[in-house]
Amino acid sequence: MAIIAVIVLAAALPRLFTGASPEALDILARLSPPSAGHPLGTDHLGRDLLSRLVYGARLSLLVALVSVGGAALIGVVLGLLAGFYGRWVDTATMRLVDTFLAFPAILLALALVAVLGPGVGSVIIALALVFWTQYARVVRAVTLAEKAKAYVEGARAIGAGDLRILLRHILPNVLSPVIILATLGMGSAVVAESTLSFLGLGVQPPAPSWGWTLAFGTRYLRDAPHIATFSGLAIMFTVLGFNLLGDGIRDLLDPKFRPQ
Amino acid sequence: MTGFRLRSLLLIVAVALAAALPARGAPAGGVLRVGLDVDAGTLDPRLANDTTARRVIEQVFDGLVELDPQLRVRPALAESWTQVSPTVWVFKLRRNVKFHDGSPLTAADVAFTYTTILDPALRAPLRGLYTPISRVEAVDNETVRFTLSAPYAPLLKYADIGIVPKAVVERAGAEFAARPVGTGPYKFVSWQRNSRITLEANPEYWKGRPRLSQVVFNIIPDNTTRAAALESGDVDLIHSPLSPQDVARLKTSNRLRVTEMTGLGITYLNMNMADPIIREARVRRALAHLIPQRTIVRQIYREMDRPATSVLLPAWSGVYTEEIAQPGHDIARAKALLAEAGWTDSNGDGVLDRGGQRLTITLRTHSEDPNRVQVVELLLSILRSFGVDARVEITEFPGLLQALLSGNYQVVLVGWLGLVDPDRGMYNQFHSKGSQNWGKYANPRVDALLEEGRQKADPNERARIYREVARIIATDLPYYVLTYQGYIVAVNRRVEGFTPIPSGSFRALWATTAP
Amino acid sequence: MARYAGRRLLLLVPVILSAAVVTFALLLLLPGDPALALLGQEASPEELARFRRLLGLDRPVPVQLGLYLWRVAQADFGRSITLDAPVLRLIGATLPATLELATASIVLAVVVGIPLGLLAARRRGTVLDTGTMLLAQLGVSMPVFWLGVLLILLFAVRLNWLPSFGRGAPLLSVLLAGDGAAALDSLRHLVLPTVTLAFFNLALLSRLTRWAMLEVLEEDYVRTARAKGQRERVVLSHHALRNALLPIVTIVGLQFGNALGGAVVTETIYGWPGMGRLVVQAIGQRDFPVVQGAVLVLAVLFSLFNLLVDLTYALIDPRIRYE
Repeated sequence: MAIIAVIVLAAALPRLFTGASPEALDILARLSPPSAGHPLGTDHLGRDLLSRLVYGARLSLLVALVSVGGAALIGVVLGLLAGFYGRWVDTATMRLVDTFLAFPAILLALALVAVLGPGVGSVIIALALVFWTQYARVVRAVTLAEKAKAYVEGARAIGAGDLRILLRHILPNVLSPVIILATLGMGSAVVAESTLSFLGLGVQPPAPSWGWTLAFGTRYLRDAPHIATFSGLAIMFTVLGFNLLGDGIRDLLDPKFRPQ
Repeated sequence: MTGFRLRSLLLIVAVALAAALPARGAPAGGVLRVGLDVDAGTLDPRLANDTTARRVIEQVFDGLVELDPQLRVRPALAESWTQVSPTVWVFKLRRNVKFHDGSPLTAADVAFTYTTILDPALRAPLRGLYTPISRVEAVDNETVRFTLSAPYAPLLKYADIGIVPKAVVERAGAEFAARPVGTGPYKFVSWQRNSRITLEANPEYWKGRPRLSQVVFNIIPDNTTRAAALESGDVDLIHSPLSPQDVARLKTSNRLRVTEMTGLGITYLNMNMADPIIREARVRRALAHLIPQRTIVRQIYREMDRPATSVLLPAWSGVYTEEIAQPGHDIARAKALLAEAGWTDSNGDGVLDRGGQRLTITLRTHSEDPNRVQVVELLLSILRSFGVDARVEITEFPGLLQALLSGNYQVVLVGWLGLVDPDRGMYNQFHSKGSQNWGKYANPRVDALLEEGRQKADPNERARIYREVARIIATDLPYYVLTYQGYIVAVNRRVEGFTPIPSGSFRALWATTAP
Repeated sequence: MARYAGRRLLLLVPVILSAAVVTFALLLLLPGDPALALLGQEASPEELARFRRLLGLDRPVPVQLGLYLWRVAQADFGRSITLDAPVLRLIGATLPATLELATASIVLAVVVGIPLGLLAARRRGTVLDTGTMLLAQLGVSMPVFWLGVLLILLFAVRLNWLPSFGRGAPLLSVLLAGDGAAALDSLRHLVLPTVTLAFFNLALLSRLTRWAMLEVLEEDYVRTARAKGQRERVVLSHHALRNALLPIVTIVGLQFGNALGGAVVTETIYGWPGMGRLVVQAIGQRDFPVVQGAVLVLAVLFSLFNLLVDLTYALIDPRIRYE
C-alpha cells in the first residue's frame, strides 16, 4: 500500500520529489553518477534521472491504468454477454478468446504496436487487446454461476429485464474478481510497456518512460550502472506494490478466488 | 542414507563445477571465431544483400577483381583487363583456378554469373548497379567481353562480385544458396540458421593455402553481448556495428587490439524538398546551424564516428577534400535565418509561427540504431528550446523506408553504407531522376555533373566533378551529413595478420593466423 | 470426457483458422512490405514494383488471403523471403531449440520452485518463509530483459564462468549419443538463458505452492490425519502435498505456454537460435511467409497446451463438469 501511495503521489505531485525538469538536458553531463545536483545521476542525454523517474511514474500509471481499464471493460462486457446469453454469443466470444490466446502475448503486442505506429496511444490499445481475454474468461465463469442461482430466477419471475438483471444482480458479483485481476494486471502492464520499449517499439521520446530509460540503461550497464539500476528498481517496486495490493484486496474481498 | 545423500550432493557440485569451467581451447591449426550481428540471408553472391552474407561469401568466392584497403581495384580471378572502347571491356582470366568441387573456372562461369544477375527473374537485389551492362560473353575459355549501353566508370569497382560455377548452380537450383561452391580461400562446411556458419581451409587456393584451418562465424545480434563475447574469449574478432560505449571499453583491455578507421558509410539528415516547410532553403540552413555536430560526435558517438564536412567520403582518395564545409553550429545565425523567412513568435506562446501556422517539424529515425535514436532525442530538445514545435517518430526500418519512398516525411536521420565510389554515393541520391532521391531534390547543374562523372575515367576530372557536386549539396542542403561512420575491428591479441579494410571486407582472413 | 476432448480438439480448427486470418490482417496493415525490407534503400521504384509482382503482393487482398489459406490447408508454408529457405525447414531448425529452452526452464522452475514453496509453507512465519516469499515477489516483478543483461554481465563477463551467447549441440541428441564433452558444452550454454526464462515461473510457482499447501493444510482431512497422531512428514507428503499438487500441475502446464512466449525476449538477449527470435526478426524484416508459418505453429502449440491444461483440470477436479 505504502509503495503504491508513494508512486501515486509522485505521479500526482512530482514537484514534491524533485525540482528538476525531466526534459532539461545537459549533454556534456551525460551518464554522470549520483551527486548532490542529481541525486540519482543523469541519463544518456544528461537529464536528471530522479526527475525522469518521478515524472515517468505518471506515464507508467497512465499506460497501466488505461490499458488495464480498457482490457477489463472489453472483458467484462463480452464475458457478461457470453455468460448470460449463452448459445452462439458464448461460442463466438469464447472462440475469439481462444484466437487471442493462441498468440504469445508479447508477440501480439509487438505486432499491434508496429501496426498502429509507436506512441502512448498504440501501446495502451495493444496492451488492452492482449490482456482482455483473462477478464472475459473469469467474468463468463462467474456469470454462469450466478445465473443459475435462485435469486436471478426470482428477479426474472417478478419481471425484471435482462439489462436490469445483468446490472443489478450479476455485475456486482463479477466486480470483486475483476478488481483483483486488474490490480495484479497493473503490474503486468508496467512490465509489458518496458519490454516493448526494450524491443524498440514503445512510447516515443521525450516522454520519460521507465521502460525506455531502462532499455537505454541496459546498454550503458557497464559505464553508468545507476541508470538501469534505478529505473529497474522503479519498475520492480511498482509491480511489487501492485502485486501486494492485489493480494491484499483478494484476502479482503474473496479469500476463495484463485487467479488463473 | 546420509552417505547416499552426501554422494549425490557431491555429484551435483561436481557437475555444476564442470559446467562452470571454461571450455577447452581450440585445437591446433588455428580456428578463428568471428562474431557478427545478423545471420546471412543467402550464401549465393548474386543474391547477397546483407553484410554477413558478404563477409562469408568473400571467403568462399572470388570476384574478377578485389578492392585493396585503399579501395583500389586489384586483379583476382581476372589477371588483367583492357577497355577496348568506352563501352567495351575485356577481362583475361587466371589459369588453373578450380572451384571447391574440383571443376575448373572458365569464362562461361563468369558470363553465367553476370547474365543471371541481369535477369530480372533471379531477383538479384543489387541488379541496379549492373544495368548499364548490355551483354556479357565468353570469347574463349579465358576471355570475357562486357558490352555496355553507355560509358560507366564505376563498373570495375562492382566487378568484385563472386563468380559462381554454372554447372553446380544449374544442378542445385535454389539450394545453391545454402550450399555454396566457389573458388575462394575457405570452403563451406555447415550453416546452422541464426547460430553459426562454419568454413574450412581450401588447400588448393590459387593464392596459396590459407593459414587458418577453420573460420566460424557466430551470429550474436546484440552489440553489447557481442562485445562481451569478445571480452570473455568466446569469439576472437568482432567489427562494426558496435556501440560507442563498448568500443571505449574494449580499447582499455590489454587482451584485445582495436583498430579504428573511417569506413564507407555516412549518417545524415535527409530533408524533404517537397515539404512545404522544409523546401525553404533558409529553414534547412537554420536547421543545420542548430546541430551541435562536434558535441554529438564527442558525446554520443564517443569519436567512434567523425564529424562530416561534406557528402564526400575521406575514403575516396583523390576526390575527398576538407575544403568544403556545411553550415556550422551557430544559433544566432539560425534565429536570424528563420526571422528572415518570416518565422517569429508573434503570439508569444513560445513557438515560432508565420501567418497563423506553427513551425512544426517531425524528426524520424529507426529504432534499430540506439545512437540515431539518441541524436534525434537531442535534436528534438534543441529544436523545442529554440521555439520549434518539434516531434519525433521512431519506427522499425521497413516502416521508415516506406515513409522515405512515399515522400511522406520532413526530416529523417538515416545512413548509407558501402559507398565504394562517388557515383554510388551521389548519383541516385541527388540526380533529379535518381532512384533514391526521395526528397525530390532537383538541380540541373547537379544532374549534368553526375552524368558527366559516369563517363569520365580520369581521376582528376572525376575529382573536379564530384567536388563541385559536393559544394552545391553543402549549400542547397538536401542532405546534412552528420558523421563519417567509423569502421572498427576488435580482435583478440592471439590473432595475427588480419588487416582491416574500410569496406568491412574480410579478404585479409586468407593471411590470418590464430595460434 | 473423451467426447469432450474430441469436441475441443475439433474446435481448434476454427481457432487456428481465425489465428491465420488475424496474422494475415496484421501483416497487411504493417507499414513497410517484404519487397522494401529485402531490397533495402538501394532499391529503385521499378525494382520494388517488380518484386511486389513476383511476391504476389500486387494482387487484390481477398485473392492473396484466399491463396494463402489454400496453401496453408495443404501444409505449404512457402519460402522465406529474406532467408531463402522453405519456411517449414526454418521452423524445423529453430523449434527444437525453443522447446529445449522452454523445457529446461520449466524443469528448473519445478525442481526449485515447488520445494521452495513447500519449505516456506512448512516453516510458515519463519525468516525462511518471509525471505523466500520476498524473493518470489521480486522475481515476479523483475523485467526479464533486465535480469538477462545482469546475468550476462556477472557470469559471462565478470566471472567468465559461462558463455554469454548461443547454443551448443542439441542437448537431447548428444545425451543420446553419449558424448559427454558436447553435453557439457550444451549445458553450459543452456544455464543463463534457462535461469533467465525460469525466474518468473519459478517465483510464481513457489508462491502458488506455498499458497496451495497452506490452503490444504487447513482442510479437515489433514487435521484428521494430524489428530490421528501421524507424523508431520507423513501428513505433509501423503495427504497435503498430493492434494496441493493438483492446482500446481495445471499451473505448470500454463507456464509451458508462457515459456514459449517468454522465449521471444530471452532468445533475443542470448542469441539463442530459436523460434522466438526467428519470428521477431521476421516481423522486423517483413518476411511474411515466416511470420505466418511460425505464428501458426506457435498458435497450434499454444492452443494444444491450453486444451491440455483444461483437460487436466477436468481430470483433477471432478467437480468441474462439461456439457
